[in-house]
Amino acid sequence: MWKLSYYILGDLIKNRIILGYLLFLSVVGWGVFFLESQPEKALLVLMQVALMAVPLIVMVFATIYYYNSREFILLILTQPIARSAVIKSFFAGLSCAFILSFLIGIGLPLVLFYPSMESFYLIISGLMLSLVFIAIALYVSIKVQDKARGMGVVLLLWVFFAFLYDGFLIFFMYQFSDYPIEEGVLVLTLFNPIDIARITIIMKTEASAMMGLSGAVFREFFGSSKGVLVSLTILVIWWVLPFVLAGKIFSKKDM
Amino acid sequence: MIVVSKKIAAALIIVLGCALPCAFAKILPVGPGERFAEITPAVAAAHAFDTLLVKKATYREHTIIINKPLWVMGEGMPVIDARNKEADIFIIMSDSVFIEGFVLSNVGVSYLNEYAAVKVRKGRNGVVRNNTIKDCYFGIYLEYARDYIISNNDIVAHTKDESSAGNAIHVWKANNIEIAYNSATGHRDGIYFEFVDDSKIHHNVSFNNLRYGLHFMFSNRDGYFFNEFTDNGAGVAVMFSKQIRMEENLFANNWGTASYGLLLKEISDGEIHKNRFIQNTIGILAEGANRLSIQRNQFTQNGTALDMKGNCLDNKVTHNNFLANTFEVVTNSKYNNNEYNSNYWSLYSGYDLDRDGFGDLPYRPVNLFAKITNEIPSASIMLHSFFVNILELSERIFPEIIPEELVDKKPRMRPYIL
Amino acid sequence: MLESKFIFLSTVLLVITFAIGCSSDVEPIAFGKDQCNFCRMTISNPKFGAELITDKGRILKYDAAECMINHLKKDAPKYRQMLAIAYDRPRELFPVDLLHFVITPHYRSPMGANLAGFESVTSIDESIGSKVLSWQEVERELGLD
Repeated sequence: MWKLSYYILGDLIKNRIILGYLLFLSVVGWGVFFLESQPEKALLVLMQVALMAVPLIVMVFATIYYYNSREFILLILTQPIARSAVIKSFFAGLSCAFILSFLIGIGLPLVLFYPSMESFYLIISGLMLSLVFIAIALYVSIKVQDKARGMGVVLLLWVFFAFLYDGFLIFFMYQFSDYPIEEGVLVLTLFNPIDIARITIIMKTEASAMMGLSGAVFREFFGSSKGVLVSLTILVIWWVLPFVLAGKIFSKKDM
Repeated sequence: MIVVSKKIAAALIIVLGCALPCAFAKILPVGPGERFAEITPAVAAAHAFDTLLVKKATYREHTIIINKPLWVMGEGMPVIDARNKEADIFIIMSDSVFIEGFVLSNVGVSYLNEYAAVKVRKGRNGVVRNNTIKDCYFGIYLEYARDYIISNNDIVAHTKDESSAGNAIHVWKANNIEIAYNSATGHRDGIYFEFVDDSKIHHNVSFNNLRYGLHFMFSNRDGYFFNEFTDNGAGVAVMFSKQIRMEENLFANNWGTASYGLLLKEISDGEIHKNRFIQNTIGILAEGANRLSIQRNQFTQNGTALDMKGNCLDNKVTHNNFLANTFEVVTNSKYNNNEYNSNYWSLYSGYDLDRDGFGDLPYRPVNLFAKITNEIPSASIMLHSFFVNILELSERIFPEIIPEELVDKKPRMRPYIL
Repeated sequence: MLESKFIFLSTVLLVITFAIGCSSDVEPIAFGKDQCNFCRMTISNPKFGAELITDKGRILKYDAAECMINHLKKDAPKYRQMLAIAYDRPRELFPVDLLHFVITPHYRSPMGANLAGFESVTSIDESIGSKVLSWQEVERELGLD
């Protein structure tokens, strides 16, 4: 299995898109600290990148990579290797490539120019989101046979998590704004990995003061170590669950 | 820092003028080895308009009631230590009393009475100056006072818990008071005004107080100038008052969930000119504020520079600099009843083809997110979310929710030099 | 199939949300942190304060009972319960009907109405000779009908 992950990682490192991803993150990550004199503002920019661009690129690339490697997978499966090992190596290889890019492109400048709790949480969240969306992408591409359809589903999922979900949430809050819904909203945010990551980071920044008094319930939860633990756990569930499901389908699937 | 003031002169003339006819105004020395070892018996023995000259020493006294015109002066900063007793140190119940040159310390916290280092119960033409007040529940406390000067006092406490904190300078039901060149820190409010008219507060420094740097209520025709309010729970609250002038003050680092540089609540006809608002969660929070002129102020790096609620009417916001604030203007109303003109907005990205120094495109400084959270408080959890950012962008182009007529038609291209 | 799953899931979510959301109860005031819902001041004096629970369970806090009355006068929010802090039991909220009130400059309340509530009549300073009022009388006194 390790040999196979190693091989996939080697293949990915030579891949132009991964190099492009690394370049993109590096330009943004290093550039923003040179352009922005306030590190707090730079952090907010990088947060948008980690929350929006990272999931999109990771999902799209993981999907394409899986579909393009289908013939290679067929070839591997003729060898005496367990199917679960194949999918695990795939996941491990992809994860390594994206995590390395993120650490070099965003993590390093954050540590160098703005070593703080906020940066730490931003890096952790970025890594967790990479894992979550690789797992989701693998699940979709294994489940959906057709490449175009698979791509469509992945894009839709991204739009849903990055955009629509928040819209629904605001709509929901608007409908029930007369009621004390803070706790309910808190629970609902836990169903979106991007929201979890965003709120966890913001709670560590000075910007959290701008949530005002109504933010007290959220601050109490996400600001406490218990809240951080819960949100990290849910993020872990968010990547383990699609991955396990993907593995199940993969091992039974007729290739 | 010597305050030369008409009021001191007037007070002096009154003191001297009254003293001359008696012509026997004496100086009574107080101190170890002097005629009076303590202050209280000296006060009892003194006649009106005498001077008590208190030598350098530590006096363990409190509840010194001054009921006649007297000049009580410390020589070399003598210390009066109340040793955490629940009692006032000086209680002034007469006109024309000067208290000068003391270190007053350790007035105990009481939940029943507001004990202070210097308490003026009633009186006019008095002066409290050049004192250091350390760890007292209340510092200087005036009620039913007129024509008073509080200057050059250094008032320090180290209170952590808001419920056991008093105010550094507390003025209640008074008239024509001048508060200048004082420093107030570690109290609940640095300076507290309730029912105080025609008074001036200038050149004071108020920092690290638990609630407000300066708190104004039900007070009219007052002014405060050249003060610095930094690192307080919240900067300054001006409430239920009329004709207040606020000029050349600094409001900085008032950061926290319920914090702001300046709270304006139910006030009208004031002037807010040439102030600096730096790094506050909200620079100015205005609710029910009418006919104010907000001009030539500098708003730098605040969370929200100006939060103008819908019930504010006929205010003029002109010629200000808005630099690097996260949100520039916030309101909860769909309508705009205030004038915004000729301000510099650092988030403005227009051009100036006719080169008149003002952008050719009008600018809408209102932020949508803050408007949403005003109506739906729990939406605050969507701060910095992608969805909100997109909405924000589209609102700026096609205003639908934010007040369409809240526009600066002459946004300045370059900041003013203030 | 997929649709029914989706509907089921969203129902579960909504039920969870409301089960958690609607458990509104009296909430202690965080002195030095909470802001008065009417005058926007930080609530700081633990001997004064009030709380209103709206008909839909939202909790509104005030730095003084007069602020709650002023808010009712101005916006008339619908409410389920009115609570106020007892001067003789700092930080504790009681339903207003259980309290005895006096209006006197002897007890200077934060927003200038000089209104203080007491849990026990005996802890009111008798020397001030003020009339002890019920909440209804206080409302009438401050002009709330």
